[in-house]
Amino acid sequence: MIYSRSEFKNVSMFEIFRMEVEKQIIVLNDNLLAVENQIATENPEALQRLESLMRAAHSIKGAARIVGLDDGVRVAHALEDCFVASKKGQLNLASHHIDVLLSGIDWFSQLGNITDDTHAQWLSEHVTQTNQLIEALGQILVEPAIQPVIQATTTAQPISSPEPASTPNPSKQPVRNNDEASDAKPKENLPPRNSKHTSNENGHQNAHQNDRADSPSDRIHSRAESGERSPSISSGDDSELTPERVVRVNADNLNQLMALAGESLVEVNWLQPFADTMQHLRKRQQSLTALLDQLQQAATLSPSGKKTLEEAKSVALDCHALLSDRIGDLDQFSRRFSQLSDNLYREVIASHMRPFSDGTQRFQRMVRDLAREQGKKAKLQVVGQNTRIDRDILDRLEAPLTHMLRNAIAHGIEFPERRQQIGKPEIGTIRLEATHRAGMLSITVSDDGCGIDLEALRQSVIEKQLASPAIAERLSDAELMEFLFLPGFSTAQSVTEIAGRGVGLDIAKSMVQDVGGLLRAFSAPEEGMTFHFQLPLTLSVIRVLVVEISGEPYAFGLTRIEQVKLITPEDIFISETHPYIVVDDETISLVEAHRVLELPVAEREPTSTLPVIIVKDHAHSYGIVVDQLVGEKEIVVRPLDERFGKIQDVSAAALTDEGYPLLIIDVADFVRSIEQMASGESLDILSDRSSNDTKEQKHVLVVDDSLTVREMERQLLQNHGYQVDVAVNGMEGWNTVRTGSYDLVISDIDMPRMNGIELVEQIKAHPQLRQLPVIIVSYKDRQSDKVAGLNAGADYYLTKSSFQDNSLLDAVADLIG
Amino acid sequence: MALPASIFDQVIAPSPVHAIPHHTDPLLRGIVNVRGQLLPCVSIHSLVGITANVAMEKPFPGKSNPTSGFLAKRQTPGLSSPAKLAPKPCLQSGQQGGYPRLVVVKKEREVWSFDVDELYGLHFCQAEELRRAPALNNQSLASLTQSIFTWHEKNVSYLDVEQLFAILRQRAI
Repeated sequence: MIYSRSEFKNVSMFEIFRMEVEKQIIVLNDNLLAVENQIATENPEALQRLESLMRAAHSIKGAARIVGLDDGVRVAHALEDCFVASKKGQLNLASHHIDVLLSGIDWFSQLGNITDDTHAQWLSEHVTQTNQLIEALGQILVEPAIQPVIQATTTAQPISSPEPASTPNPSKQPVRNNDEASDAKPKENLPPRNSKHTSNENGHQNAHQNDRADSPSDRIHSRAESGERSPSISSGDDSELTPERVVRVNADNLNQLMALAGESLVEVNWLQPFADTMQHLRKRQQSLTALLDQLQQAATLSPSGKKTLEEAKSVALDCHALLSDRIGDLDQFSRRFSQLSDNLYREVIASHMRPFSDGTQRFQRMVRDLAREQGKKAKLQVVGQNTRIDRDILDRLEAPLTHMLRNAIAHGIEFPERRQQIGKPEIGTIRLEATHRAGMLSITVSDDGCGIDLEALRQSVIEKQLASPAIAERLSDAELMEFLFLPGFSTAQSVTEIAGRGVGLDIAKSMVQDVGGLLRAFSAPEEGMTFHFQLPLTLSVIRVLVVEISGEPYAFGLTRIEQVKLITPEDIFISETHPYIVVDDETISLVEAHRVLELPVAEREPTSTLPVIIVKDHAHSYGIVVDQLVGEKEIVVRPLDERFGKIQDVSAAALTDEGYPLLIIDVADFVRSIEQMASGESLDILSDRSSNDTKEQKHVLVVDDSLTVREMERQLLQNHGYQVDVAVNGMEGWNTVRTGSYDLVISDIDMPRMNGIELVEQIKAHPQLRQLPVIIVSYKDRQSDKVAGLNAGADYYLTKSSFQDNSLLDAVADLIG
Repeated sequence: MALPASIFDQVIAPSPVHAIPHHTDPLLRGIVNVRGQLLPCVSIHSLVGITANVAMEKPFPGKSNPTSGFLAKRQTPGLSSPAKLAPKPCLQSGQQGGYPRLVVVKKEREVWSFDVDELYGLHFCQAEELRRAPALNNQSLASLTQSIFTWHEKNVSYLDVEQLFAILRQRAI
């Protein structure tokens, strides 16, 4: 085939071709994998899917023809032929056929990824592969029509015949190889041509190429299994056959659009009050007419005066009619316009959300390929495909989810024989579930594999000297699981079951922390492993209670409010210095919101009742006294300017109906601030009483997110005569260090909301705090971590094993005496 | 005070500014809604050390009460575009009451907003009219002033944009 340059002149046509291919590949992959799971093609759904496949292949063929890629036309044509034959029932697609078909799809996806002017080059370089691919595709058709699979499994005697002869010819160029340029080793060769065996056996051969231990009886079983599992897949899978059309828009433009749509919504609100004043005008006008009537009756006027009065009356009536008419128009316009901008606003917001399925398209294929590669059997169940997810979060989720699915297959799901031995279904199930729960996006990745042996994990923690045996014994299961998220943790050779589990989990964790979410791991030995993401629904609409604090509007997410109460001064009790109220037999401490937020007191008339918002975090309830309740409202969460970073106690901003900014309270953060304030106060009181003792005490701030470690460090230091305050994360640490006078900061690295490195950098960049010594105490013991810590400005970098020996105390003594 | 016209992005009527909790530096007044975008709003008054300014008292929500005498003693407002734009007649500064405005400045992708007591408009200014900044007794204003020119018999500080943005970046947030 000769490709001249001139044939590829039309750049924009290639762009269209590329987009077409991209779109159709999604359809092809989805449907092909679905068909694989529904081998019985009589199934009407499978027929429908084959129909989609045919259409997709046909579209690609057409597109390839337009841009003059003859090879593309040939490959697409061969694909289409296979689908047509399969739909007619002349061909039953087995796994190895699917492999070939998938490699055809991959061929296109590679072609689609090429920038315009190298198509010809690529095609001529890959001419051999292309021809082999087309040949292999043709071969599928040549094979004799076969019996339906389920019957074949019952009469599977040919398996005993010498199989090795039919294994792929190693000298042959593997076609599958070109689907991943980076993958150096051929994963699977093409099925042999002129095979004497039935297609399902060949499928088998391929599936278990890497799995030497597989016995023939296993194979029969597995085939029967895959026949059975098809209905369950189709029922659990609500994938759409007609994908939505998607365009690409610059994110800035979209944000601007959102801002303008919001503004137009606010502007509309001006219209109704205006219409009301017009109504008022009409009423005044009416009374004017009435006055004229009275005048006419009461006054005795000259004829010319009467005439003028008549004229005045008729003019007044005209005005009245005109005004009524105009007001009606204005009312209608106002309604239409407000509906319009409301719709506009909703649409713009909706454009920020994508269905979960958008982010999971690749996963079915990936799970299939990985499982086959490893000789395992696994299926992926995606639940909640239509769950709307913020596009930014969806993008960022892709890498962590990919990673967890890989882990689940590589380390979670056992080999089929093992699964049979322990009485599990031979095919492992990985569930990927997305739901909206309590105002958060919850995503769960679970497998029914072997899970993690917690005791082995505990041993590994001890062996790696991440914690002393004494601490390790005291670590709760949840705290133990946190070790998995340490970088490079799983490289421990000693625990083979979990080896590899942790690689990259630290990356997943930091992604989740970046967006202000939580990532937790749960494991039940022999039952499987679950990762649970809890993510915020940024940029989505939430219901809030708007309140006034220090004369300005703030919002509390409704999901975070336990109760709202109006209390009178008589309801308030005082215990020592803390005011509290009793609600349903529970004592609830009261705090004034403006004090927590360090805002000035609002000037307002003293009222008899105080509005209190009761929030709950973990075990404690707090009553937050606000100035005024404004009302419940649906608002669009808007991110704060990036330059602000994370503002303590605030999660985001929004606009009020009037178009003024309002801030959304981060309740979890707020409660921490209350707790910190409370402990700070009690400390103040303490230090007042024993001011003589504390004068020489050095003041140390310990920042760590693990309660165990925090308490360990606190006790250790207090026993040695230091006064210790604690903060549970970097952000709190940073806020605390600026408000108090400390002689030393001891910080962990891995923390939510602001990590230790950032904390140190902040401290060292601050003009007043620059001199403050900082010690980093972390589980991370790699050289690169140490260098990063010291580069940030830390004075010492210690590992957590330093509690056992005296290195922490020595370092403290060295720095502050 | 004057800034180059090229950095002015928008000028709108003053809008309520929402304070940021835990931020005690008066330089950052909070966030403000500018055509649907929430922008950080800073106080140039506090930056250059002009304290006597009643107009900066923030009314919320929207009960604006600009008081008279808001023209700061040392402040010489004015807006100039040195040797760039066509000359425009300058608005005469009113002694009583003025037209406070919220100004949005933008350089590259960095956007800030601040209140001004009055916007006098564009002033065309020859390069040779710009004089070296004399030693001012106001430290912070001196460090920000690139040069001085005379307008309506008043000395106007022509501010250094780079310096202004650098200080805002460092100190405001």
